[in-house]
Amino acid sequence: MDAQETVISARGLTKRYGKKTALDNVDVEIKKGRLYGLIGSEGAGKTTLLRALAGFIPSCKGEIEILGSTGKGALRRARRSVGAFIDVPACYDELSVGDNLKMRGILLGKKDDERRLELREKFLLKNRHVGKRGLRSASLGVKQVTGIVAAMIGDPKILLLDEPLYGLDTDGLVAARDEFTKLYSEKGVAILASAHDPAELDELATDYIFMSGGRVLEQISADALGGKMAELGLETVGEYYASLTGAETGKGGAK
Amino acid sequence: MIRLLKAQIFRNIRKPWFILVLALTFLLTVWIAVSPYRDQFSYQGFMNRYGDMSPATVSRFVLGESRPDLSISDIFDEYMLAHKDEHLRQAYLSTAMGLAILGCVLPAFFVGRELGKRKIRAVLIPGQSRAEVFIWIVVRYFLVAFIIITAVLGMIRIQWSVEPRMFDHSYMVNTQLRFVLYCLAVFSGMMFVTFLVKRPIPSAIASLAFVGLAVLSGKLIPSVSPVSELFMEAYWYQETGPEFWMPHVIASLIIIAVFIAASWLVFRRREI
Repeated sequence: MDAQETVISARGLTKRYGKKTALDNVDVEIKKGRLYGLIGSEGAGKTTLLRALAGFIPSCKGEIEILGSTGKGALRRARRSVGAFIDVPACYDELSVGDNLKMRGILLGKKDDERRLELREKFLLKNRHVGKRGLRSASLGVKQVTGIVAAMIGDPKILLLDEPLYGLDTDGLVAARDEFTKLYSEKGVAILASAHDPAELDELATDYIFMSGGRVLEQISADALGGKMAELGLETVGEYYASLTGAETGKGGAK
Repeated sequence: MIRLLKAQIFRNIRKPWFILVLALTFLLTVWIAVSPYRDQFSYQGFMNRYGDMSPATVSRFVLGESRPDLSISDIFDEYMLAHKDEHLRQAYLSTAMGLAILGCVLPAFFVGRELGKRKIRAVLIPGQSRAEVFIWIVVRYFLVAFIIITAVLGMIRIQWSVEPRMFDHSYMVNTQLRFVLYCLAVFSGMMFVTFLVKRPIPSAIASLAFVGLAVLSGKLIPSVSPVSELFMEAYWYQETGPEFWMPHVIASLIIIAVFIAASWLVFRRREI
């Protein structure tokens, strides 16, 4: 696998809920060893796109290729290399953090206890009290971190994360940013992480995908984006997104 | 499937109530198997114990007075009548019915909830087969329902074994097999209703409405509902052959298949 290998390729993804179009003919390409910031406001289609790529929306139209695999069976097998944390942590509320993570390891058939303990130590036990009580009574930050760690168990080649940094405390943020950087830069993992606030992914994302109204407005590398922003005299990614959506809705436009 | 099994064993052994129910079911099953009452209240057990004695001896021993005019079979009937209080029998009947309903309602409710969006996320992760998850969850709860219903039947057999034919093979097939299949048919229907409705309180109401309909249909069409059958004692004692029970068995199997297929069709298309 070379560094620029495409691990996810989606063409013409379309999903409608009644009259509302959640995804409108979306094309995305995700490459190995990069972290894509999926930027969009509420209802832009970020979560729907992540769910479609993870296979959680069976009735989504369009073509998806993951790790070179297409077709129902092959795609399902390829998705075994995908870790996902979408919407809410995929955990049992009655189990403790540790038990949820252990169960995920059993479910994936991965006996990488060392990796699981390493992640748990890094995210959950540093300056943080994680008891043996069920996840139900845990704080939002602990739940969020449990979801992130669960998605990373089994050394996935692709990570699909829905607003992973939301609700984390400072320790959690530092641990997550550090781990994500290691994963894509050292281990070649492809990460697609959505964010409501683009500032969450500052100095972390290597690429950006901007979405609005169920459509991809632009997919661009962080370097190219920096150049464009300088040209337009914009200082933040948020401002750039606003300029894009302003142009879309005709209420403004790129400055 | 093996990983799912391992993961769920891991999950369930952490639930004290699950261990308790499992232990109680195990103890009840053992008790049913080895209980002295089983022999005491069965005609076969009675004959094993007293069959080679004279009626005078047996009646003196069992009834407290010598009754040489009675046959062993008559002594058994007298003995059972003396020991079987009608109110007690009714109480057991009500308990059994309650347990049978629980045997259907609770597992069906839980399977519906388990297949629902939030819980399924813990096992239906990327790459996990939907069919495997569905089969695993449904089979697991089917087994729970089956165990509860079978335990209920075991209790009925012990407490209600006035008739020697309760232990006959034909009776077992005719009544008990039908009863189990009817209960599982109700379970399948409720599973579908609970799964379809999604939200806990509306699905609980819908499930109870489903049971109500099952009972009501049984009142109106006596051969339809297993729950109402429990009220109809005579029905239990009917001498009937395969021509009577076979259509009921086939109908139950069709109902089970239809509801499971419907649940699968919804589940395979449902977004997580």
